[in-house]
Amino acid sequence: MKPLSASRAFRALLPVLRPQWRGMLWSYVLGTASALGLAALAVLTAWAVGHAVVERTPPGPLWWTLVLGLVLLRVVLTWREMDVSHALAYRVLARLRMALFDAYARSVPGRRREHSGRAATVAMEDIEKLEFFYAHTIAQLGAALTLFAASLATASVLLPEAALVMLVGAAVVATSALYWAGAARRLGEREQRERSDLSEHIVDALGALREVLAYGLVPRIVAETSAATARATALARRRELLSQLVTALRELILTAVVVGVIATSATAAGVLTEGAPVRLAPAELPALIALALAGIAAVVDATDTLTRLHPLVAGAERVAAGIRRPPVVSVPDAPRRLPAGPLGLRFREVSFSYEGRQPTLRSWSVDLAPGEHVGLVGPSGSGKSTVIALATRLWDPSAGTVELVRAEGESIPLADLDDAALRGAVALVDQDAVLFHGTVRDNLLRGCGPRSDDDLAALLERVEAASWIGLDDDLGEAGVRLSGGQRARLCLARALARRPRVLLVDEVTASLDPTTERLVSDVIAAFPGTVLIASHRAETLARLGRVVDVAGSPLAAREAGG
Amino acid sequence: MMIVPLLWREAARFPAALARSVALLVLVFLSHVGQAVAIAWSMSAVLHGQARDVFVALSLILGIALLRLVLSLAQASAAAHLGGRVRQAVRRRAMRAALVPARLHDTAARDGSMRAGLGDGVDGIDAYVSKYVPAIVQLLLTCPIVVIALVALSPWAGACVAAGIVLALAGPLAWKRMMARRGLDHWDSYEALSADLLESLRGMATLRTLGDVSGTRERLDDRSEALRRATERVMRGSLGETAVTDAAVQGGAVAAAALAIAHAVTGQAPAVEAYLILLLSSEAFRPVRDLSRHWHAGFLGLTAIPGLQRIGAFTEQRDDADPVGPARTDAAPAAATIPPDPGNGPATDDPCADTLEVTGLSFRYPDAPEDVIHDLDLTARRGALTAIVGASGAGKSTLFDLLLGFLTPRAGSIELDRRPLRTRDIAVVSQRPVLFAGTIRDNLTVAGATAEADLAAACRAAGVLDEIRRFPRGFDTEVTEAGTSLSGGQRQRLALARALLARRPVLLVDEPTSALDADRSADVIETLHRVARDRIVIMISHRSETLTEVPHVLSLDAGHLHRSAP
Repeated sequence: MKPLSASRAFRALLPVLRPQWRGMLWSYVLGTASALGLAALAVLTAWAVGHAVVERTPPGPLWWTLVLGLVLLRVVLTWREMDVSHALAYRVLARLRMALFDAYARSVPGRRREHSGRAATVAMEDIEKLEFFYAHTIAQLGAALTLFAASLATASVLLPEAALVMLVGAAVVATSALYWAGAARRLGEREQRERSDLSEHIVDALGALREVLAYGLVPRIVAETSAATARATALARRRELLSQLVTALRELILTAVVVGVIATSATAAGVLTEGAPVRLAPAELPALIALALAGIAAVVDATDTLTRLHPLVAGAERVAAGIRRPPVVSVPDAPRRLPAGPLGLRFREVSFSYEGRQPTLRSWSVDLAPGEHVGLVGPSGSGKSTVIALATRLWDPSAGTVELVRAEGESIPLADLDDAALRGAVALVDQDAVLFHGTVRDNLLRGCGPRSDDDLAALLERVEAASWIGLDDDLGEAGVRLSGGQRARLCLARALARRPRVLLVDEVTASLDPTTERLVSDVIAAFPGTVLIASHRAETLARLGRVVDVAGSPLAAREAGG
Repeated sequence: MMIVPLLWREAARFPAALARSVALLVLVFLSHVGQAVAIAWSMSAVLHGQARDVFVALSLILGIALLRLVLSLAQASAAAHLGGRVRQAVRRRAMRAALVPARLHDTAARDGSMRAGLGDGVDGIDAYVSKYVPAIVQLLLTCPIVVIALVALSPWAGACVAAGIVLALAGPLAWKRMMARRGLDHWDSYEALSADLLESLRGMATLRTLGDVSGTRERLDDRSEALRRATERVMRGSLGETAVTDAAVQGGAVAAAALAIAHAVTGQAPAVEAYLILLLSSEAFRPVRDLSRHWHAGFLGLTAIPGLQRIGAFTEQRDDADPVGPARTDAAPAAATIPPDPGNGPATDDPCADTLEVTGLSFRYPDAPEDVIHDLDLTARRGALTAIVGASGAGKSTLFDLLLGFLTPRAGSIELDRRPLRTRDIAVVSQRPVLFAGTIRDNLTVAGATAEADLAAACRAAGVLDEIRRFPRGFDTEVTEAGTSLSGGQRQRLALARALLARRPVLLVDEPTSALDADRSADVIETLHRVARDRIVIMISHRSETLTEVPHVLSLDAGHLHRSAP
């Protein structure tokens, strides 16, 4: 059932509203009062005109007070209602954004990697689009139904058959909420896909700008985004047409109801049939029509809201799915703290495979004693980076365990550890490490306890960066102006600032000039804790106590340097 | 009524679409007026007990409603067309203005804010252009007609309605300036959040290993709250407009009703006129109410406009503008004589060139105290590999960017066979090559041959063919964002294969073997030696083992090149 799956998508987004129930209630009260005010205004005006035309009597001072009061009240109520409901929606959106970030933080990078451009579309655009759902749906539907019930009750007192026409009309109008719902949903879904494709395309082009410019791809990318925009426009046009069609049909139904009410009440007023009993004074006729109109208009508004939800289903589903993403690493029930003292690292029968590929590691074991410096070798693509990623617990192995080992022999699986404790003990320097927008100081202090400027300056000295950069210098996104060697030095300084007990290094020395390579190797050699370096550089490996092979048999460890 | 001149200009670029949209809107409106007249007639017929008139009037009401259904569909289509055309034009210009070399060295540039501007920002203007602009034109055309009709019925009613309309339209202008300021704040926080969010999504692995997820969460939460506050402020300002409009509409309607009552009571007019006054005055406000609705739907989108303007989305460029060309012209005025063919496509004309000559080249970054490259001379010839060595930060990458035309030299010239070097003469393998999301094949064929045999040959030469063949889907294996699903070494060799396929006379390679083991590294160097026989190849390298057979090794030091012992 399609409508059911759609309502499920939105229902999944309702729990964030729970803390906002006061606001919802307030918004409902204001909305209902405002709608009733407007209906009363219309009815009072029509009533006075009807009486003036038929009986030639002007309304009394009470009428004037009521009408002017309602005009003023209505302005204030409209403003307040919109203010309350929007403020509430924006609060909910802010919460959703953070809930989505938390979900991504648990699940990125996944084994099957998702494009950050797509993820960003969900977190920004898709969530923004839900503003309509949170600001205009629930309280407003309630207010509309209340108004309809009130006007129906009044009409049935005045003229039961008019109320019957209203009821039937409202039921027909209500069915229009489902007209072409499936088509609207599919269009919304395709639009959403175009949006995230476009976002992915733009992020790719910006991220690979040097390649794009060097290979002259700008005209092609511009043409592609332009074609994508044209496709999105065509979809938007079809969506607009569909919603316009439904709106127009609804108006047609509304018109038919108005005609029906006029006809019924005219009959009751004895206008259309000679000699029939007069059950409604002609002077009340305009008021009754205004009342019926106000009631039906409320139902029209409500169904219009429902119709406008259909294209949003795809986005709502994506947001809901994003929030429910499964974490890539398990969260321990009772996280263990990490005792002080040196730590070793142990891989015990570890297996791992990326989705849709041959297993990268099969029952692979290795043991690093506390304080030992070990090299990790293997051909390009053989899984060195995977070993390092498992040691930093970016992922959990599919079988086996990765453990930290204390000097006295006690071993603690990474999976049992409190995350903060793990991050405090293990640091990583790798080839894909990201330097973030901000100053050098900001970057060195990311995820690190408080450090004095003197400490940080000493670190810059130690990686011989102090001559070309200072703590207050801006790095720009991904360190745009730095060379590979400069980036590597800053990443090393950032890892050391954390004072880790285990240092993991992945292919950092490879692209460095001999001076930088020697410096990095010196700094690592002087590091007092345990070190695991993935590298194929003989110069780097020569300084290590032992070298293990990631591709070889589990026990194929050899002495290096010989 | 808020006028954004930039968007009006954009809409006016498509006069036919705009005119169609407005004309249909006017027709839709006239159908509403017609219906109002029919309703007034039917009510007065009911009052006077004219049964036949009642039936005629009621069928007229239904007929007009059917006609409007058709008209409103045509109008919706025309409006969407107009909005789409404008969106497409603005995005094309914004994309072209965003993909420029200046961005490569800009420490203030954030990909996430650019993404927000190019995607969401451009989409945001649609509502204003497709709905609001035609609605204003329609309002200016039709409201006077209705007011005149009302004046004919009752001068006072006409005056009241006119006053209401003017108040509704002009009232919000009082706080236009404040709205503009708040809009600016809103978009700034939207961009800032978007930038931080994209950066943290891209760097999530680093954030997790740094244990900075919670710190980043706090930062993003601050940004998100700032955005929420800014959105609320814009919304409150915009609701002011709604409230004023509402007050004017209701006030005007009540005033008109009072006058209709006065007419009826004093017996100046028959019933039908009283009803007409009432219904017409309500219709007169319909465009104002529509305008308010469209404003509410589009006001957040408008906040992106100053940001888009900053990018250059509203500045008309030449359609075939070469994004790399202008940067080159200062250094080499002769470049102006080159046909403005963008650096796209394979340089099929003449893949062979003999000499690349750099003379007196100097460059410094805008805020740097001294030159990175100073009075540098370099001659590289076809036939043998040229290697450049130098300490980290010595300016090797800057030199490559100067050759590529991504930076404009302060002085000096770069010539290929005595004509200025162009970007499209060069194939490049950068130190950290980036691959696009897509298949391996998509990545290889960006700038050159697409035949299977050529791909295989290039990949064999780059030493990556065996590994590609080992993937279950071969060349059609999907590559994730930035190529992160491949190892560093695989990325490097694919980038080399891509450069070989581009068949350009100059090949620049930056550390081509850094992520490779000794055997593969030797293969790649051998390939480069072979390629150097018919192309000019310049390689940046630190590996002494890669330099043993290279005849010309130059060392970059303090912005100068010297011949160095191999």
